Amino acid sequence: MLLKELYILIKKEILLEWRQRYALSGIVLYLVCSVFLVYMAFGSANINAETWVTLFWIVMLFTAVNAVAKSFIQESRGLRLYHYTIASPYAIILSRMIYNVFLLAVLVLAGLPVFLIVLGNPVENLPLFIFAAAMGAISFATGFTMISGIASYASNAGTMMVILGFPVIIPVLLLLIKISKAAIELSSSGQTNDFIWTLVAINMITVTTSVLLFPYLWRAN
Amino acid sequence: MNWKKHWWKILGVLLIYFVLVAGFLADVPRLFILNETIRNLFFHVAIWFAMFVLLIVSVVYAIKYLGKGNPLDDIKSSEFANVGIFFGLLGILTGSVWAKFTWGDWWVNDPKLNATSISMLIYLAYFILRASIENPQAKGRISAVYNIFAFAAAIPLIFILPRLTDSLHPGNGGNPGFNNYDLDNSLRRIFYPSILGYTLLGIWFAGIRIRLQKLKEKLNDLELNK
Amino acid sequence: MKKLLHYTSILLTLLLTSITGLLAQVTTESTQHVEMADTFRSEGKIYVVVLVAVVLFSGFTLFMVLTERKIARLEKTFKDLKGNADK
Repeated sequence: MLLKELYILIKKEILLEWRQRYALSGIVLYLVCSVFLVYMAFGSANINAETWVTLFWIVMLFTAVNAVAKSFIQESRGLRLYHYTIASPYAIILSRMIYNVFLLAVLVLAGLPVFLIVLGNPVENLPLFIFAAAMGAISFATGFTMISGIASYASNAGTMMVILGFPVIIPVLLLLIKISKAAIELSSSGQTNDFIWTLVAINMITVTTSVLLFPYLWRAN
Repeated sequence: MNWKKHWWKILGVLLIYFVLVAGFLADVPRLFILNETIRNLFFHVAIWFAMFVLLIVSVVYAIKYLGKGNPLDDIKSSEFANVGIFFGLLGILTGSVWAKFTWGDWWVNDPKLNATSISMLIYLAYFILRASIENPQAKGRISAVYNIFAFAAAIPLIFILPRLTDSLHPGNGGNPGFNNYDLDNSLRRIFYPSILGYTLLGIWFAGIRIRLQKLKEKLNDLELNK
Repeated sequence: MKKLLHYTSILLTLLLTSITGLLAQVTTESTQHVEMADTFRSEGKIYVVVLVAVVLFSGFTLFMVLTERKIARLEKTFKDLKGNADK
């Protein structure tokens, strides 16, 4: 039953998005503009590897916040009540999370080539970096979906999303940057496995807590 | 003076008196870099531990509130978070002063410091969230959810990340440490009572704030019912 | 008396270890002298520090007790008010 609900909900999100690609195109535009802004700011000066990685993750972070904000915040109250009556809270939160994972995976894996082309390629270990980027997409999606849900009940939802989300995501961001640094061979790779496993653990904790807590949030409807 | 009701407050005060006297007069291990400031273990570090206890109490009440919906639990959850953050602020200030004298700078790029500033940000966000929701039930429910979520997702990291990386803090990265064989009994004898003392004081603060809040609500009810 | 014994024993140990260290031409960290506030303490100034701390904390405790009493009085007033309203 849950699986069927999940499937339908995810399909609905993807269909809605595909029909009028407002959100997707808006966010892709945001991403490209940010990269361009970085390019303009640094000009022809060669960016060193460390700066490159940091810029990449900052741009990805803001893009992710924008992308995930759409899941709960831009939903009208009537539509939310309707969803409340027809689907279980587990299905709602899981479907939004999975959809956001896909969305962010597309954005991050599209953003990476843009970065590489516009700002040069300091990445030595590309498979590891792509892996780190994918992990980043998953981590941002799981973390921000729940935050987006919480923020949607506050009066100034967009700002709340940032205020609530950033402190919680900073540890994740730190780990991602450390793994990326290993990918550009700036630091010893001995600890990289530790970082990756910690990231996986955090993701599992985030998903579990979100799924456990979301029904209580949903009841506030 | 109802002893049964107030004994733990008196215990807290007595413990801190003990720590103030013993903390300065007792003998301490002689370690490099730290010298005499190792005594800060009884003050600065104890406050962090007490803060952690208070924040755990806050999360527990948040969970209770989600379970039963009793508004008193929400008040308790938020006031314990309040006092917890106050202790955290004191911890940061005292840590900063300690840092200036042992590491040479008021603030350094150190994982433990980063982790603590992140947790401060998280709880500040908690208070902003509470302020931005009008409806009391929604306020309680949503802030409880955020309290639990943020605690589960980020606070445990304070203990994990510093272990994974080098840190200036004692015990990590080559500094004389406060690990098991260094924290000898002479320090433990004062350190543990200090944690207990600060925790009891924190609970006393929180208790007063909670009672004040309850009185405010009663006043509101009276005004509304006139 | 016990304190004096303590201090002399520490000084003696340090002296002995440093001498043996020099003789054996092996220097470990424990033979070096760690600066502590020994002179400060021997002049009795440490008691001033303790006294200041105790006074400050007493002031704070007094404040807490007064606040506690104030709130207890307020709570009692409310209880009485409520009792009157229920009648």
